[in-house]
Amino acid sequence: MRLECRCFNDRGLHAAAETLDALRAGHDNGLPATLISDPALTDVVGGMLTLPQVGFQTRFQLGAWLYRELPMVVQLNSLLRSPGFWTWLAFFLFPYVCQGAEKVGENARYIFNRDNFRKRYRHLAAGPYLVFSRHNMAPQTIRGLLAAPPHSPGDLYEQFASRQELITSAAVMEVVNQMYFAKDTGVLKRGAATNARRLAEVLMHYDVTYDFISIPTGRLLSMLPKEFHRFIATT
Amino acid sequence: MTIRRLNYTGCQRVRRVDVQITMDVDTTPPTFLCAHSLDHYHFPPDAVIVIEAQAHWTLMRFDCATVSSSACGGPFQLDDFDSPNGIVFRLKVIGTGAQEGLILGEAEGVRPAADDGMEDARSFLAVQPAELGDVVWRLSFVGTDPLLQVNEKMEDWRSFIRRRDVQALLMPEIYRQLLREAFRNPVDTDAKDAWQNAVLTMVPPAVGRRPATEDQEDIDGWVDDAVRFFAGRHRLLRGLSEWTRGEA
Repeated sequence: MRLECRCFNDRGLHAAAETLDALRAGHDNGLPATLISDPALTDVVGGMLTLPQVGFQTRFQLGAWLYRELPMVVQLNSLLRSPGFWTWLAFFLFPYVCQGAEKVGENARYIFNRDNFRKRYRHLAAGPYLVFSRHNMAPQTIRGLLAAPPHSPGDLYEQFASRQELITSAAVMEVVNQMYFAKDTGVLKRGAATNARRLAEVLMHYDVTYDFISIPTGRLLSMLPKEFHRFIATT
Repeated sequence: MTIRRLNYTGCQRVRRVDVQITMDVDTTPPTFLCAHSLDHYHFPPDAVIVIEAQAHWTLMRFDCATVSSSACGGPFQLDDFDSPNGIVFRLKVIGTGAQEGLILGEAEGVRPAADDGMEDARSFLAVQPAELGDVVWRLSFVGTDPLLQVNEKMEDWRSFIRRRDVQALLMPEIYRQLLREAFRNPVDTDAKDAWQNAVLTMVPPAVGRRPATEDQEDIDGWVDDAVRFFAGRHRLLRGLSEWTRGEA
């Protein structure tokens, strides 16, 4: 698909929410054809955006694509906090971020609300973009966090992205990646999600004492208690 | 009701009065300068000072200098923020070498001093416009300090919250929520800068002794008394009546 980059206006945001409701209720099987291109609902904010034909296997691929493509077609600084832009983008990416009308998730996944900090990171387009953007200097460290498919962020992402102290830390991302991501297979190790839930809790205790932006990865790994050793040992 | 924290690493609480943040909101983006008085804390001279500016989900971090250098640098640009309203600062002193990454000292919830000197720079309740749908206002307890969010769609929200009728309706409920939250999430009684202690010590002795139990009925009763006293002291009913008559 190839389309001019657009942004939902207030009417468009309303229509987007109604569309999700209709999909959930089974009234529609797919998006209305003109929802993302209707001039009454959207404003053009940039150049042509073309979806890759091969699609995205992981949220890492999606985040990398957004990070690479968006600055080439829009003035991103002015749109970074725009609910209309990110919501439009989620609907533009709908075939990838929603696996059928019966699997429409909560609104926060598609409708971006910059002030809803409890759920903002769950947005299926803004989420991977923001994580990738934050860690663009070392993107290999977020492969594990974004290893899930674009429509299903997964528990590992939820545990860390929901805690600003953790998601902004390069050391924490590296620890998560080293512990839970199997580089040879490109997927998460067995039991990773359950163990990661505990890891996030333990790290939040450390956050009181250590500065996660300046702490070295090795030091953080060496402080982890025994329950995490089986994952550390296999890195 | 009180919580005592164990401090194995010797992290020092830096008092807010030892950190001065001056913000310039007339520039685009807004900028700030930081000055500090850390000599009497005896931090290692090579320890690093960083300032974090935060308003809800937006966080910016600025590496300032080492403890040995008296100047903090700056001005620092706050270009990630939609608005300068509600930005709260945190100063961290971080160890280096064998102590790399260890927080040696911290001042939380530092607010910029107002240019006109009229506003209490250490007031713990910031006001910020926010996307609230059809909700007019709400009190948020997510950050270090509570935040009064006012619907950003209201054209002149600053004037709105200064209106006597609005204050008469808002203030008792805000005060009630603050007191309840202070009981729900208590902090170390030594944390003099913590808003929970500030709001509890605002309650005059005339209200009666603060409940020492966790009995919710006792707490609710005491909070009710405190709110009633607060409304009386600020003559909120009279203010509302006068405003209503004036409007009519």
